Amino acid sequence: MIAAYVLPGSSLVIVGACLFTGVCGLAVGAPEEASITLYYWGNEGDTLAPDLLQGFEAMHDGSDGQPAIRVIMGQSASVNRTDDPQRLLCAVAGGEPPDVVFFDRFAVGEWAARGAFRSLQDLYDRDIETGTQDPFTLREGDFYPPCWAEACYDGELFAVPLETDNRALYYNTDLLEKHGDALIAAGCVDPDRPGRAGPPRTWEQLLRAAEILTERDERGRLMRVGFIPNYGNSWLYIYGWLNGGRFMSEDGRTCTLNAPEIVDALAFMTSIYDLMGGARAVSAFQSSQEGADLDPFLAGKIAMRIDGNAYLESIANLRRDMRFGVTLAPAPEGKRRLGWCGGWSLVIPAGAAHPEEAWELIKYMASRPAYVVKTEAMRQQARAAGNIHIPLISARRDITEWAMEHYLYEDPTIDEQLKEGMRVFVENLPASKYRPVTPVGQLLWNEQVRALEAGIFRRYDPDDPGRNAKMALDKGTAVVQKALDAIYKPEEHPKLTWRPVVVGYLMLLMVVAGGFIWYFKRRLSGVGYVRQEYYAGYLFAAPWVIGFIVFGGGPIVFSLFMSFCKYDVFSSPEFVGLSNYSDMFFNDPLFYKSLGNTVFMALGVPLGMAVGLGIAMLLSHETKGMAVYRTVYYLPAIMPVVAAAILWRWIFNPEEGVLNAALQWVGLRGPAWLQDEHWSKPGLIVMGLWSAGGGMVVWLAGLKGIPKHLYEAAEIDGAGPLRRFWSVTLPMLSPYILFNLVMGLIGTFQIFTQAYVMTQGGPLDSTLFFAYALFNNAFRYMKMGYASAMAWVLFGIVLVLTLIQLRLAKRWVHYESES
Amino acid sequence: MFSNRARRVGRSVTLQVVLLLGAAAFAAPFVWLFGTSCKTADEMYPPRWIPEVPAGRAASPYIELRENERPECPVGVRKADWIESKSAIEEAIAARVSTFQDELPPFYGPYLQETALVEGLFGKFLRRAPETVFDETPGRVAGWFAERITAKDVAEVFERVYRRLSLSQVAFHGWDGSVEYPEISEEYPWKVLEGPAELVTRREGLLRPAEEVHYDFSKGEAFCVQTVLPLDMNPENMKKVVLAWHSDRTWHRVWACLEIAGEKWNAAQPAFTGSDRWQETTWQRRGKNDDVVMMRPWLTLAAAGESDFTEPGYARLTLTCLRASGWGAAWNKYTNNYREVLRLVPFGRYVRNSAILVVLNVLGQIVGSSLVAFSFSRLRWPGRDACFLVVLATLMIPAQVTMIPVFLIFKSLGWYNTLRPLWVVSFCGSAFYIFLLRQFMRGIPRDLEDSARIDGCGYFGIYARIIVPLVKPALAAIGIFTFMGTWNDFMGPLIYLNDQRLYPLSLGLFALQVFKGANFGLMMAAAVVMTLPVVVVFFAAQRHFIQGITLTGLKG
Repeated sequence: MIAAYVLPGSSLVIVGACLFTGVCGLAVGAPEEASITLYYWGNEGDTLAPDLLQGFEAMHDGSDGQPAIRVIMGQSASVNRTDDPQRLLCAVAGGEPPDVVFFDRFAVGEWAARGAFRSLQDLYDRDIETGTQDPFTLREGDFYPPCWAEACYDGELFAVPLETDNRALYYNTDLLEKHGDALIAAGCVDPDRPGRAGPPRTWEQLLRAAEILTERDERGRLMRVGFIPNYGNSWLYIYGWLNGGRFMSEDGRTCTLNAPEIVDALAFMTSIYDLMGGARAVSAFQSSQEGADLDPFLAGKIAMRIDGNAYLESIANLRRDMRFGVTLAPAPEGKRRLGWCGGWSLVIPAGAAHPEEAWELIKYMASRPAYVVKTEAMRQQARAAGNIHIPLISARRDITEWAMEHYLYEDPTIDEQLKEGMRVFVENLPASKYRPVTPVGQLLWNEQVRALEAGIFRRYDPDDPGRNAKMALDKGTAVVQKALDAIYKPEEHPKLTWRPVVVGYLMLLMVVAGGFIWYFKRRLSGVGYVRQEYYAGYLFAAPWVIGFIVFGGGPIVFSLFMSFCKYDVFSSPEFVGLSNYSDMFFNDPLFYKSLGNTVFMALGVPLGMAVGLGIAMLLSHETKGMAVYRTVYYLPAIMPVVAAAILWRWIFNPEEGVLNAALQWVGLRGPAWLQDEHWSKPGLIVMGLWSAGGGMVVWLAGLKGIPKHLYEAAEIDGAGPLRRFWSVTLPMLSPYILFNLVMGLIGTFQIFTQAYVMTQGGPLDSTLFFAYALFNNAFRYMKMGYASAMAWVLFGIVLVLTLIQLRLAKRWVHYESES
Repeated sequence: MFSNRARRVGRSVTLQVVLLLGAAAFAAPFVWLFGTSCKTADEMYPPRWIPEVPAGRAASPYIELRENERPECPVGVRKADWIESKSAIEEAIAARVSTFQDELPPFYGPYLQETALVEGLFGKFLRRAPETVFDETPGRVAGWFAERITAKDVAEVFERVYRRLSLSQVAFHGWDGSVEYPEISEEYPWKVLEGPAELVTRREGLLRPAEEVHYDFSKGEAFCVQTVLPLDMNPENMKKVVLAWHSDRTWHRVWACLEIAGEKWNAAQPAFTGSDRWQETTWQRRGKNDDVVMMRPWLTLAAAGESDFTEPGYARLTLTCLRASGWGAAWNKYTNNYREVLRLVPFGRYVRNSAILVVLNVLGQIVGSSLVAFSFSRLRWPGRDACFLVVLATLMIPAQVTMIPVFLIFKSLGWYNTLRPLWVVSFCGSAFYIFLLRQFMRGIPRDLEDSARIDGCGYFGIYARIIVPLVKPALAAIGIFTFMGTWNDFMGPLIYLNDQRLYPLSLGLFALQVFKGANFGLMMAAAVVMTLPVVVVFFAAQRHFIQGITLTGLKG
């Protein structure tokens, strides 16, 4: 299906490709005769892959008359394959998908609905019907029901669940004991041992326990927090389910994010935040703990948290002496306590070359032998570092029950608390909830987060938490419902084939070339000397022109076309006219919000230039150790983004951060920076200033290009240092000022990484920048057409601003060659 | 008033002070980064700037005095009450501990009155003590603590403060996947070959039987322990040997040597007595794919010729422990995360791929961009300014929406899974650098060029002999930018490379983060490893940014 849309476009270049294949040294080696090569993008380390695949390849070595199968493991290096699906999207769209992909179950429905995956139902049914005795045959009954259900979309199986998790409440036993009397009075009693304090079981008890376990110092500052509702891994989802709510209607066509149960759940979460002094105070406390590399629950600063079973391993290895317990999350009185499971699965992308063999591989990977190989390898990794490995929960009940017994419960070296904790997770798994399988899963997730933030920060109605929650959830519901309607009640649009795009591009090239020739002919009346300069000009510019025609121009024209289409990468684009643009201008509040945020960041451009120039002037002196100074000042620009992000979270800590400590020293009380919707953008600007040394290189080169005699002449004329700076340095630097201004603006309007790594757009969308919103639409909601329209609006804005700058520049930029 | 000289000195001192302050502000985060990269997972909390210095113990076993945080007055308890009760509590705990003498393993005996043990128990119960306890009389408070302590608590705290080196189970793994757990035989137990050490056999509570090694390096620089184990598998099949052991956090070096049927293998890297937990160390023979696979948690065994140990059906394992002095232990500890990074990933191959990409990209950008910029700044031709606007315009479309069509183009050229998509384009120049160079080239006076032309220099001559030398600082800047961009680029390789062998370092270390993200120190070490080459290159290149060529004399 997909290849059909893609191939015509690429066929033009295929002739060229044939020429190139001869040169292609290190392409993938051709498979041997009568054997089939599978490409597998998994999550296993490469040391593990040979061990893991050895068994599979031995079973399919060709001795049974079937072709032999060879598996090539492609490490999916992306941290989160569903958050950053660019790689898979490119491979699938490029018609060269891997055969089996390790994929987050939560996103299976979303991709399956768009035809990105092959349905596995026929393969599954066939195995069941033939009633084969093959031990690898999968049976629905072997799996935990929620895991299986999450892998099915529209009644068909699209993925085979592999690992799973479950969520529950962790509590610090020491702290429970410390406040034992008060807790028992509040009804938090250990059911097995009356007379001893136990974890809360109802929402009422949770509220009381959170209050009792919270400790403040003499000045009323939070020293220890009992419970933070959205900390660890809980979100609005688990509270909604605990309150008996549903996020989608039975048929999946109506979003019920604003159902009364969920509104109440959000109001309940808000009331716990209020108990601690409000969401702002809590998040300040939370982030003040972040700098400590150990998380606050392990450090005993938070008494309870809802999290997944993977957290057991953190406790086991980072805080060996901690006393803790695990129990199901509390539910409202009379309602059922339950967990929330998610996890990973294997899928076959649509268009994969060998689905039959891929299915064999999937069945093998879901089997017990494969589980054992993986677990043994992980144990070895952990033990090499002296750590404990807690086995993963398999989505298959038979494997999990055996594995927990074998690797965990029977191991005398592992602490009893860890075993007890795991029992809670495993035993309650069958009744756990899972996120609705829907084509708008990611959008629902993001809107849930947005509503949650708006709820706990009381964004819409500061006085009435119930009404505020309702308003926040209503807004989210409307957004999700709109996307749902677009999928289930689609309007008819003409399909667009690739030919017009290609033909259009070629025609455009011809028109441009024709225009050029015409223009050239008209101007060619010059003398030979001038004509020679023309030719030289074209020749020198040729590298860029060739590059633009071959690599750059096509994709740009392509995105322009797509901005008038509904396009999800997997199916053929549909022409929708201007509706992307009109949606953006009239129906998308985030468009204006993100644009506003981006414009705000433009303030940082002149600031950054001033700091960069200042540093460069300082560093252009000749003095001892200057080489070292220059390097040190440049360091921040070199720092890898991920490391810088960790660092800056620590610097921006409202309570313990370096920045606020410095401000306090001067007598100022610093804001909560990245936790505060008003200060998050200024915070990011400050962070940008820190790496302003990066621009220093250009300034230094510019400064050194200023002839000394100009300064000497100015000094003779009696000009002071300021005057010299104003009359000599600035004009001589004006070409570079223009450069930095234009580039700074272009760069700022595409600002993305900071938001992506540091803030994920929050708090309250205050760092949702235009490019980040665009990224969300393109890769998370699969609205590539809409994203293209956004890109072209951005293009228009930046182009106009750049033209204005270039026009104004004629007045103030001084070029030595034109003086 | 001041002499010229004094003024000059004053100015340069001020400059140095300003520079130093600025440098401190800019470098402080790196000091933290660097410090963290030298920490082990245990010392992440509480946060501190200077990584812990190892105790530098010469003798083992020993009691670690720094293991516990000192019990401090809890919030909400009056200082006076605290001071009053503290010593009473400590005495009561000590008294209580001695009552467990019979329930605990006999070798605990000499250590039961150690302050570290008492302090550990104090802290353990202080965490769960309600503040109201301290309202009582000191005797009652002490009683509250003492009556709660059980033998199990003592054993738990003891386990953490008692540091020892113990050797336990050995396993052999074959290339075919088979595993053997040989029993340490009666006739060939672990024995001390030489050096200041002795072995004590001990079954520790629920844990496995082990040989505790008591050593004292004040009496010698090294010791050697050895065992002979039955090995059923064919010696050719022997892939790796795994030893379960408990080390004592002294950071001495341990070298392994394995002998089977007249052949000998020496460990290529040492193990360290650095952790204080049960751990399993793997020594593995070289395999053919070792240089491509990632996450290699083993130490390599290198063939070291013949051995005099020829007994069939047995393998001989020798461990040599070499003393590390105080400094040596610190060095061993601080460099541990770096060693680990370099060992876990096939570093040489990744660096080679990165180097190829960096060299080609830097070359391409410098050549391509300068040619094009020359055309846009020094030559006049029809359509130039319109064309330049198109150059700028290509920067204004976010890459996210062109990513897929660009991928399709490279794929149809057959460049998928090759390095080509990652460097070829740079030879076409990039808009950012073209603009930058154009600005620099426009700053060069025309007269230079005119005189060259009169001397019969062609356009290429002007470009190569006059313009390029004059914009060298800008070219150096482009070089640095491109170097950094290519070196750190992660998304490009991720999309275009499927083959592990082609990965550049950025992608390789990113994959490390996927597997080892929880290991903070290791991540920081990887970040330093990533940053260091850029720092070195910048340091070496920085003088080129300021190599301004004075144009004096031309206009003056």
